[in-house]
Amino acid sequence: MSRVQIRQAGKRYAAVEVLKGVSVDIEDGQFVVLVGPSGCGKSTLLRMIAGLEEISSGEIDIGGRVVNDLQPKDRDIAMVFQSYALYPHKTVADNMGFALRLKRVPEAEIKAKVMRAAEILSLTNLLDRYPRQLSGGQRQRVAMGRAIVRDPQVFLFDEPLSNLDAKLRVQMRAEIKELHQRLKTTTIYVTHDQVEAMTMADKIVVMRDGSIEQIGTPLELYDRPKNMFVAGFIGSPSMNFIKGTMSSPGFTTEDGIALPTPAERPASATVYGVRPEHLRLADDGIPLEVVVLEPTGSETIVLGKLGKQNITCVFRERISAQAGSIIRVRPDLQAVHLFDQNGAAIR
Amino acid sequence: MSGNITGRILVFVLLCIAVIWAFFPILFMISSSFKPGNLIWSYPPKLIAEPTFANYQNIATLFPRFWKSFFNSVIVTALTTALTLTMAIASAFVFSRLRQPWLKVPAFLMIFVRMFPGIVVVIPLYPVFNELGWLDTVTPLVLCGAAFAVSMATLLIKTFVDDIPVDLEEAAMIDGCSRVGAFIRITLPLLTPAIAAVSLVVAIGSWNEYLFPLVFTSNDARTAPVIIAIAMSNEDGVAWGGIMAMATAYLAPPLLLVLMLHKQITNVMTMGAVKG
Repeated sequence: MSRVQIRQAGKRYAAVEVLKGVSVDIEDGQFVVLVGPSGCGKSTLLRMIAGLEEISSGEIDIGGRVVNDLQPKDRDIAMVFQSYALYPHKTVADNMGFALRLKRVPEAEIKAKVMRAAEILSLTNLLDRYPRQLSGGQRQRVAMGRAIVRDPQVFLFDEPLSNLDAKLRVQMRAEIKELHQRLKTTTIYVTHDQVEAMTMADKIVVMRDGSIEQIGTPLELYDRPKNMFVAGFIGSPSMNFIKGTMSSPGFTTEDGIALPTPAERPASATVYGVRPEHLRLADDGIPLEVVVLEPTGSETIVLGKLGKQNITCVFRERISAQAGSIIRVRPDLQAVHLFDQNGAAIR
Repeated sequence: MSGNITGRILVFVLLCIAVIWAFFPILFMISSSFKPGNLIWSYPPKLIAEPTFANYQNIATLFPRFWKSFFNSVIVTALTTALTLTMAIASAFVFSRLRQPWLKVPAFLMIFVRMFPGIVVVIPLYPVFNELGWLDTVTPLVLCGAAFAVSMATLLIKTFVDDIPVDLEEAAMIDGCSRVGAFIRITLPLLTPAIAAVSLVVAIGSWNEYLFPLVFTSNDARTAPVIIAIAMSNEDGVAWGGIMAMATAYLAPPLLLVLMLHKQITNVMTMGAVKG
């Protein structure tokens, strides 16, 4: 069993509290992504799980064993670093076999395990090379290979794709996910990229300022965000937030424009949230002044103005509006989110 | 284009002058060591006239303590370098990797101690070493030499440790090393060029040390620089041929060391020139 339980884990550097007693329960074999903006504490939490940072308060339990006071080497975890952290003076094979050699595993067994990992990651031709002789993607694979050969209870990934170009990132994303499906090892993955989080995770933990904002499956977070932060962070482009007030006919923006509202109309709603992809072109819709049109081929992104407020729309259709012209859009009422003045979602 | 060529010629000439300026005493010394004594100051001068090894053969007769002092210099330099590097590598690890505010105090003290002139340290240490029975042994030479060299060596090595990502040690800790083990197994091999360069600096400093052996030794533990200096102040006249041969022999070990470590030192000089 390699369940990971984080119970009220806190981290403090002198007077600065960077992690404020967070709790997460990660099931055996689950792929959990810690996501949030820079400085939210996600990497610190990962490093606390790894044993690279001391735990100021709370407990971390890996496989039924509290690991607070254990050295990293005794936690039975493997970690892939953002910088890959490959040993420059060792070959690929020696990098991958280093941990096993420290454990005094017989040389034949090390060779077999390294070869098996190399086959999984298509590294067999590169085993005699040094890290400096590899491309970014190959280095990334070696870093994963080094983790795999140890067959640990938990894999930890600290923004492993952030040094790769966009195309390679998409490819490696799929490879990591495929690897997880094959090995079914509990995985904790840190990223600031919500697309990575959405596409890879069984469960996402959204963090901000050292606290957890929401934990849920990718679609739970997308469909039912708890607050404006999660609603804005998950989804690309971000959700539109339109300020206004709820009155008897519906939601009225600060500019006095009436927006179509779901049947339930909570009086406390002060922000109307709708995702760009949930706005559709409609002849009887609300008028939107086009500011910028961004055709991507598969879709058209329109940056526009609703009164004085900026609005982003994503249409599957190809449209040919000019900057300054007016298009009419209608929100999908099933996908409208209302928030109170504290930013909390109203259900 | 012609301006470019003129500039290059000018640089070349200036470099030639600088090289001649730097190497003239060395060339004069080496060539003189192979000349009969009466031809060393002959006019017009000859680079090497009738080369002879007589000056080298006569060293043991003219300066019977030289080869013993030469051996002492080798021992003191080797031990001082080893001790300095051991302490400097350990200190560099602490100063680079343990970012504790209180470490500013020992860091300051290390530099502060280095600021004392050697003679100021020698005076109070003399009676101490006398009491310990260490006078005229290599022990005080090694201890004082290392104490003076360690601060600069630590600073130099620390800058190189700083450049090695801590991620590597953390990866090694997860792979199964202790913190110190990760430093020894991963960071230390990567420091080899830096250690080679610092070894050279420390070794040459120790090889040239004059004050400590002059004060703390009298006979058995005397090192070569003191013996050579004494030979130059002979009341019965200076045996220039022998002195030139001694000085040339004394030059050989550092020269060999530079040649041995040449590749590593070049690596250090070009470190950071190319993004890894």
